[in-house]
Amino acid sequence: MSVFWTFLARIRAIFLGSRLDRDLADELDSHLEMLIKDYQRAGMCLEDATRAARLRLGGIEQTKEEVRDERRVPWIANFFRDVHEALRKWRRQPAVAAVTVLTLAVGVGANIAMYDLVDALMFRPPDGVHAPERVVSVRNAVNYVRYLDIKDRAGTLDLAAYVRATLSLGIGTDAAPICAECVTSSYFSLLGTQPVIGRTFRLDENAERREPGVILSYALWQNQFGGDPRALGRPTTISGRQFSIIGVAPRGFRGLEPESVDTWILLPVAPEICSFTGRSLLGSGGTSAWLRTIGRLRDGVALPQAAAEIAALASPEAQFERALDHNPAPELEPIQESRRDSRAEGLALWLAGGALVVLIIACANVAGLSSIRAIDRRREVAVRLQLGASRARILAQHMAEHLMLSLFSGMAAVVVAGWIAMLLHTFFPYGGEVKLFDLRLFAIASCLALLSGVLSGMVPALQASRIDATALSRVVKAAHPRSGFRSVLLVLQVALALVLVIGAGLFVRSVQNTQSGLGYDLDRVIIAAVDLRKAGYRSEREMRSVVDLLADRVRRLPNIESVSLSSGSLLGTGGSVRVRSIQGIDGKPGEFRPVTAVSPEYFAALGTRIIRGRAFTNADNGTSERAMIVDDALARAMWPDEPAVGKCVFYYGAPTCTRIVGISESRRISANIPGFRGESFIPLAQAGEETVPQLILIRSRTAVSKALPGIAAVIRGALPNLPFVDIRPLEELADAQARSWRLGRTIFSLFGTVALLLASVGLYAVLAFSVRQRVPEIGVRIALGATPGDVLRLVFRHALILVAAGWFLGIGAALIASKYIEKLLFQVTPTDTRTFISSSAILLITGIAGCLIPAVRAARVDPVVALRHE
Amino acid sequence: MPSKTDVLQGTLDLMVLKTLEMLGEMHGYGIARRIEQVSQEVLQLNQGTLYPALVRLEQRRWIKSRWGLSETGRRARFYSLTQAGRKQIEAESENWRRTAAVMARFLEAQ
Repeated sequence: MSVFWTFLARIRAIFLGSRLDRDLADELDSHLEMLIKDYQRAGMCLEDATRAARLRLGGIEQTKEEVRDERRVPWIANFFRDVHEALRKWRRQPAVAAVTVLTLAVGVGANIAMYDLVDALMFRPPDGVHAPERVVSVRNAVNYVRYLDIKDRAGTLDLAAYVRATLSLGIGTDAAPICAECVTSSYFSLLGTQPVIGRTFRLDENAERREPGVILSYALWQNQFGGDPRALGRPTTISGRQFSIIGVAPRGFRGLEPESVDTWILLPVAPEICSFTGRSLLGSGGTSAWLRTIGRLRDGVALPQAAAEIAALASPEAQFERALDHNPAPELEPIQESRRDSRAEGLALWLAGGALVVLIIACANVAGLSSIRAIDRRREVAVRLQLGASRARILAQHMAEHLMLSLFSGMAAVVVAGWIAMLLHTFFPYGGEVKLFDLRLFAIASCLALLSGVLSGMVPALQASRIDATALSRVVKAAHPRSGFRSVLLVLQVALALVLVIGAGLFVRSVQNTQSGLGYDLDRVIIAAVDLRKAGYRSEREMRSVVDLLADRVRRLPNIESVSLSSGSLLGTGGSVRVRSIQGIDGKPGEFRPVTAVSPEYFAALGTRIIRGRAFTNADNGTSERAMIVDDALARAMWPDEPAVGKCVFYYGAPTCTRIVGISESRRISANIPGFRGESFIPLAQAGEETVPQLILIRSRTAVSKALPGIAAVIRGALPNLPFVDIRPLEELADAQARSWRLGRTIFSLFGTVALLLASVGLYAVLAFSVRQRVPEIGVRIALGATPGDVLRLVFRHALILVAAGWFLGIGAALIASKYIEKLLFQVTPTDTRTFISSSAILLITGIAGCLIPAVRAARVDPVVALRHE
Repeated sequence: MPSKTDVLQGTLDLMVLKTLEMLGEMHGYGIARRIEQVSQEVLQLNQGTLYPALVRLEQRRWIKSRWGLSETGRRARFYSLTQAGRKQIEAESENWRRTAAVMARFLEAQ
């Protein structure tokens, strides 16, 4: 009960402050008077009595202070006072405060951005999906035939399917590529997605409507239609077909995959633009894999139960395939797991770790700076202590200052985080849009900033409060305080910075590697993917002659070195892959292998070398012996001990021998797929009627950017009905594959640079301070005959010891961590010597830069001034 | 476990309360003198420490104060016990006696 009254009284005291002070002053005055009177009565003179009375009463100011402490809620009042004090100090020395705030802001901001990335990649459920934990991906229903097969028979799941395709929106020269999902009518009801306006596909969405419906993504609706609700019902052209807009998906909704989607159309309505099986979704039977099937567990059904049912419903082919698989993956997989890209996740975690390292360095920097400032203020603190302040108050004061720093840096950190997130988005279109003003983000920013600020202020504050006031008078003459704390901090900073720089270096090498050693030239090659079915052609013969015509026209353009055709996809640009079975190799049974039909100039156009034998020529046509070229990896696999040239290969459906005429160098088709695939090629002329080349590969003599428009014009001119022509430099495609390494390179380089900067600032601070403390000593040395060179060497030696210690620590840490980072790199060993050496060199340069100014200042010390230095 | 300062404060608080019980109404100086007298000059208070204690006691409503005139004609504050204060004296005294008894038993134990 008394606690309650106390509290109330204290609140009251906040408001009545000054009046209570006056009252107390009066009270103490009268107390003093009475004391004096008593002493006088005891026989002292006024002067002596006064002195004695004052002694007896004790320090009046101190008493007032203590009473005030009792009165108020002391820590609130003190806190505000400390804050006010801190702000005043900063106004006098804005540079130091600014550096500190900025340092913390960078550290905290980087972490927030990385948290967002990790969250989006690993934890965040897909937007707009109701109860995503009940949604599973059905692994074996990989085409429409199988989907239909199980759809109506499954009792434990609702099913739907989708496939992504790059289509075009609009017509003619205004056509722009969009990413679309072709879905079954059950898709939206399975996901439980509610549209923003309009509606989603109904279960009985009629395929006979004059204009089938399309659903736009929120972003597309905003960008193309300005968010206008009257967009509903408007017609729009997608890949040459007319659709009418029936609804808009909720913000951030992009199906179940991380990359964003622009439109959704109904799969059965437009099979020829959605899948490459052509008009009929049932085409090519049940053997090709192009569709993704998902399911939602019905109420009360558990995953294993549904998985068992699906396994039982699988078609004979599926079951056969499954039996062949040594390590069969589960039939059903919750989508949270199946959509995870383990490489992206691994990278994200490492990036998050890198951000944490930057934060640690930043905190160390701030701690070091604080510690230095605390030493500068030693005298002030000593005076305060003697005036009666408690050590707790000194501590509280330091912490208040750091709290303010945390507040400001928290705000700045959000800005930094937003900037980094935008940078990330150019590499990874993850998680929809940049959510800069997320409440959760603010909360985390504040907590992190608070924590960092408090932690980094803790030790210096404790040090400051431990100052022995009486020893202070001697402290100036004492030897310079070699603070172990600051040195340790600096060594730590240097070590961590080195680790980050090494990481950056490894990723730089990875990116370099993805661009070389591919087995084909990246520059000067342009790929045009033309899917003539979308231009309205139907007969294969017609399509072949059109493509030949195109190739001819392009060949006639100036500065074109060679043009070749291919039936297969290269780096995922499109085109179907024919799968044939190699029946036997000298009697041994064979296996399914993808074969690409190419024109004779193919290898020359791409820059793929023929290691043995020869390339195709015009002589390899329908009448000559069937020829084939395999790549080095395949040749070694099939004939490990003998030369492959001249060997025979047999196909199903071609009874005569197909002779291997040449070996090409192994290519890395996709940087993402480790190892080589083992490719085989046959001449286009021998490929059979149904093979239509879908890629035109062009090698230009000049830079790609100059040649591209001419090529585009030729193709568009020849095919005006083609909704969209995909012409790209090969380099651009390779870049997309190398995305994750490029991301790692950029972010690690960013972190590494920041870390180095911070470390060098830290080094500068420590050295500058040390030099300042040793000015008298240096003065003495110079007076005794030391040259500037000697002084320089003195400072450098100090710096070198610190940097060397950091270097050892950093190398050790990098070696330990190397085992874990191996999976993320591309053809670089984690202990790559060149990287380590160049990183160390960078560190050395940074170290020298950091100690340059203090060293020069030390050398310029004027002994006369120094010896008088107080 | 109450800290050392708390115990010290508690002791002083009790002394002040008891003094007021004996004296009735008194100003700060008077209370200080009385405490010194009762302790037979063993306690030489830093008399200033009295004032935070008085504020504390007043906040808890165990004493109340009013302004009056001191012997010197100066404005001075006079303190007196409240009903709650009297109850507090009883409770605290009981605590002390119990503690002292237990300690005595320990000190005499063989």
